[in-house]
Amino acid sequence: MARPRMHKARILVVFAIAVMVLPAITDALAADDATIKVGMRYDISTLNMLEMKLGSDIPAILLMNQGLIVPHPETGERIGLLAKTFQVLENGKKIKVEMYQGARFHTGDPVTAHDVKFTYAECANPKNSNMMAGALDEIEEIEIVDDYTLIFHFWEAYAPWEELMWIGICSKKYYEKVGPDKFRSHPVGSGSLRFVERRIGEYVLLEVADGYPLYSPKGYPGESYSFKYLKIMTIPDDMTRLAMLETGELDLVGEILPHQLKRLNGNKHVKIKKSDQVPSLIGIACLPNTDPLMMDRNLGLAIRHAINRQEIVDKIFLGEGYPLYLYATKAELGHDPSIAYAYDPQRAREFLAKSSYKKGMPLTFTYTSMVPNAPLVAALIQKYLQQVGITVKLQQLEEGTAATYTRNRDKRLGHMRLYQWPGSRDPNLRLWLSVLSTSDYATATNRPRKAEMDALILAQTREMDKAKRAELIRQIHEIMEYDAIGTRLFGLNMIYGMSDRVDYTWTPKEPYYPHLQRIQLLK
Amino acid sequence: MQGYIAKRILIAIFTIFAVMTVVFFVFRLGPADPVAVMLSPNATPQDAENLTKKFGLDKPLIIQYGNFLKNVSKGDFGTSFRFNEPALKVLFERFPATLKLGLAAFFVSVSMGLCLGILSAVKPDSIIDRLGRLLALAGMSLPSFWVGVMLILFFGVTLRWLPIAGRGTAMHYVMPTLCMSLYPIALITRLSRSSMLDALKSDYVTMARIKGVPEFYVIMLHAFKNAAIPVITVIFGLFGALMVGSAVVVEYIFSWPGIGRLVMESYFARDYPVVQIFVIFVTFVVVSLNLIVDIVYAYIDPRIRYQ
Amino acid sequence: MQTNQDNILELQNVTTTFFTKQGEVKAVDDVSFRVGKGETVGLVGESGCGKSVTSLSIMRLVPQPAGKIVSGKILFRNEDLMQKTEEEMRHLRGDRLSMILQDPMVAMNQLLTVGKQLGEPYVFHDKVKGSLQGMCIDLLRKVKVPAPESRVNDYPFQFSGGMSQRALIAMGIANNPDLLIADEPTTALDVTIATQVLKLMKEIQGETNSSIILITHDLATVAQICTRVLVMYAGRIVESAPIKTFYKNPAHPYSVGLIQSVPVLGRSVERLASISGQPPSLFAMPEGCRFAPRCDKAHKKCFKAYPPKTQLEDDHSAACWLYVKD
Repeated sequence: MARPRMHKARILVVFAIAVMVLPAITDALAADDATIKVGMRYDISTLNMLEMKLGSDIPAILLMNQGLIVPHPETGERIGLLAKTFQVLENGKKIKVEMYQGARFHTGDPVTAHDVKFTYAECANPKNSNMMAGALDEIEEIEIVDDYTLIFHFWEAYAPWEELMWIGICSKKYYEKVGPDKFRSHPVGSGSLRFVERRIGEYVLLEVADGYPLYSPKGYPGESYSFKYLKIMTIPDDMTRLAMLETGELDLVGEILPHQLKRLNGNKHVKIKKSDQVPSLIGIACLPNTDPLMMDRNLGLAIRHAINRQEIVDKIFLGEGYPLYLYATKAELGHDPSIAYAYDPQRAREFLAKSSYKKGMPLTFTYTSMVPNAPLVAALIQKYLQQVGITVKLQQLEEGTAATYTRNRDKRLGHMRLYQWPGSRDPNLRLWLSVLSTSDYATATNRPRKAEMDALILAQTREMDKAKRAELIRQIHEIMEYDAIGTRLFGLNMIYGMSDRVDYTWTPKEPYYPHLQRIQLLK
Repeated sequence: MQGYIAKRILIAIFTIFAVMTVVFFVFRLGPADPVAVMLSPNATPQDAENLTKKFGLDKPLIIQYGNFLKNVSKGDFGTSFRFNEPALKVLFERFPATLKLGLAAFFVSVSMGLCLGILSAVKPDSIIDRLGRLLALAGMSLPSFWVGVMLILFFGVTLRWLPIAGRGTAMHYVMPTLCMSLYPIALITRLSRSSMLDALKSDYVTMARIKGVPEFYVIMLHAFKNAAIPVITVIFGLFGALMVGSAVVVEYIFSWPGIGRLVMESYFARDYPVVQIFVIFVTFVVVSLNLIVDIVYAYIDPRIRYQ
Repeated sequence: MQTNQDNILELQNVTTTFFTKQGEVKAVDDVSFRVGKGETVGLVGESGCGKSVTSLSIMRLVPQPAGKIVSGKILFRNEDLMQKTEEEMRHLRGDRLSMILQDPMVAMNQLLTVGKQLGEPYVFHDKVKGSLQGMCIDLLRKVKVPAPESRVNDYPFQFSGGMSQRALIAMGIANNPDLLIADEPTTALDVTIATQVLKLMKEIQGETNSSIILITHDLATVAQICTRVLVMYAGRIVESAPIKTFYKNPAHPYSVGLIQSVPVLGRSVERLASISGQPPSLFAMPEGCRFAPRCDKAHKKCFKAYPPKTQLEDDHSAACWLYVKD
């Protein structure tokens, strides 16, 4: 009577073990030596180029889709990819593009001007909420001349037009056949890698597309693939990602912070490379909306001279960066290494004495965890400013809250704010969004030379001549330097590590894992 | 008993509804605006307006709530801002991963916890008992993110025994399962130990021994069955919440593509519909697990079954 | 002390100690007594005097790990139980040697049917012949549980107190044990049912010829069925006497006190006598006679040393300095 009951229990135990072990078995996949694994922090939100949302979506999408132009892998300069030639017509109002013939989608269909037009129209369509939609408003119309020739009509001359030409071209025929849902789950492009599988939140597996060799236009060194699969894995935790690089579970990890290098340097299977050619800068925004005092030029100058930028870079970022004074990194148009202000607390005190800042008045300095090592940077800046007599109150804000405050010009954002501009290689967008006085995000809407500044920003957008445009940008910087509302602090190096079985070099000036297909599997 | 269960189901539905309402308002009354968070730095004011309109965020809160309820009644829990897909679909895409890990952790912690608890109670102050108490103390006090990091550094980087993250093989389950199980193991060990000690001291156990029942059956049939009742309450009642709670941390550290990580990422992206459906789903799971506890209770304890 | 073929059980200088954090407690201290075949012996004393520990010592079921039988011999059917392995003891328990606990409500497992619990002595001693269910029903019938065929599948909480006690007795006698220890079998029951239960035990004893040790604090119960009485006080046996001698001529002052505290029908007293004071704390046993602090006949000697056992007449002994001749 008692014993039969125990059999029931035993059956339960066997069942339990089965339930526990089975998922593991079904998940089992053999490890593959021909697969290169890249670790990324953020999850990919979509593989559909037409509704691309985040910077983290770009690497995978651009491996599967080719744009009209591409950065040169060694110099970062823009060169044609699907486009054989570009012609700037009517002083920049029209761009005529002649495409290479012979490029094909993974479905086998040729890439034509119709696909280009379709792709640009869908990216600009508000229903797709594509991150490029706003910028694409500059285009009035795309005119198809023939299957391989088209003309972009701009409303007005648009100097940074190249920044609109990297969009990966999607197959109109395929999209119209399968619809948006299927296109999202099984994207098809003309890129050198082809979509194989996506496990949401886990990885995207891409395969070298046979018959789609690395496209090799003029000036672009041709090469061959040494691997078969590329797996882009989402590993959100920094520590985990680096641990996986150490054990060889990942082949490539970017965005390594300097203090994390110490661990990796001891590992002879991990190779570290660095690049200072990334368009990412960290600075302090002064916010006159909270207190008009922040418009005070002398206070601004005092802040500039009070901060020891080199020390921040050395102490907190172990030298992996460079002091930055201008609103343009080393990777961007308009960078001028000759502009710098000395770290001079005495001068800072003199400027402060001339300013309307009253001693002891606390200025709120806010920061979010978006900026690497933000609490340390903020504390150091507080120390510098207090050394010259500016009382600073630190306050950390949650990222979403800070973003909302910024947009609403909320006073809770404080007097000063630590920010990071994640990077784009042309200064145009940055100027339009954060400097132009009519922008929602502008921090100084009432600078004394507002009209002059806005005119300059507008002019550089419409100036097709590169040299003339550079001069306009220089003048903008000049006003910004004179007004001294806010300051830049430093640019950081891109530090990336790889396992000893691969080799990869960052393409200069690019922010998001450019040219991942160029990873070489070493024998 | 049917009436009792029917009552419980009604209460459960009300609970879920209340949670839904609270969640809806709490997220929307917070300082952060999803549009501001979602916009890329390159976005223009027009983009912002489009987004706001697209998600219906331009309407008054009470109308948004009305629409929300109307849609929920149709089984539509909103569209994920981030993934452009139904929030429910996004959640269920990620749920199997959490379920698999949760089940693994469930069986590990229940079997380890019960074994340790029973062995400790049968031989108090033995080495197993001391080990069990140490483990219980550690499991109760060590935060799971720290345990996770230590596991990775020790078994992953130093010993290279186990893969660190990903889901390729059974070995991939070991570390996250261990990390997730530690607290429940501690809880179940402590609970089953004290519960077993009480049962072993009881007269019915003495009576069973008097009848000459072998010790194994005394422990498993007489003592354990009685000791299991309070343990089961904890195992089922708390497990859902416990699992989901630790899933957030464990899935993040071990890069497990489950709903714990999803909700963390969605929260930071202010992807309200996903966070919302997550909270509703967790409420649903916890409430139904409690319902199951009552039924299992009745199955084990005839005093309830025969009422 | 020689062994007696007529004895089913004989305890020789058994001491059971509990090792607790507060100190050592001798719950049973140098206890010796015997139980004859077919005899019914009453073990009487106040709560906490060591009656139950004595019985658990006989079963070798002293609560572990605190309790331990530290010395003495327990001869059951002339074999020393102290020499038996745990497995050998298990075979004896519930078969030749059995016991009934006092509160049927907690002594039965509430989660198993009465039938399952009744069946265990058969199942684990390989005594199942034919239908186990039938055997359990027979057993219930034997202890006069009405409608045993349906009751066998009931759970203990569906039984009344008297029926539970009967079922518990049924578990104890399932295999016709040579010795049945009944630990306060009637305490939890009201008087009429208690009487029925005692009657039942007597009947069963008549059928099976078992020996019974009846543990109780109630002398009225003892008077109903016992042939001999053992009086226990603070871990020691203070008097042992045949039932008639005990009531007529109690020797130990404690026994005298006990008898005087029992109300007797028809005898009118102004006030029921009671023994003043409290039993000694187990942690602080007095050096001399343990009853001395409460004894009105105590003299100097009583506080100095424990009195030796004195044989007063055949089968009647007491441990009191009053009877020690210098």
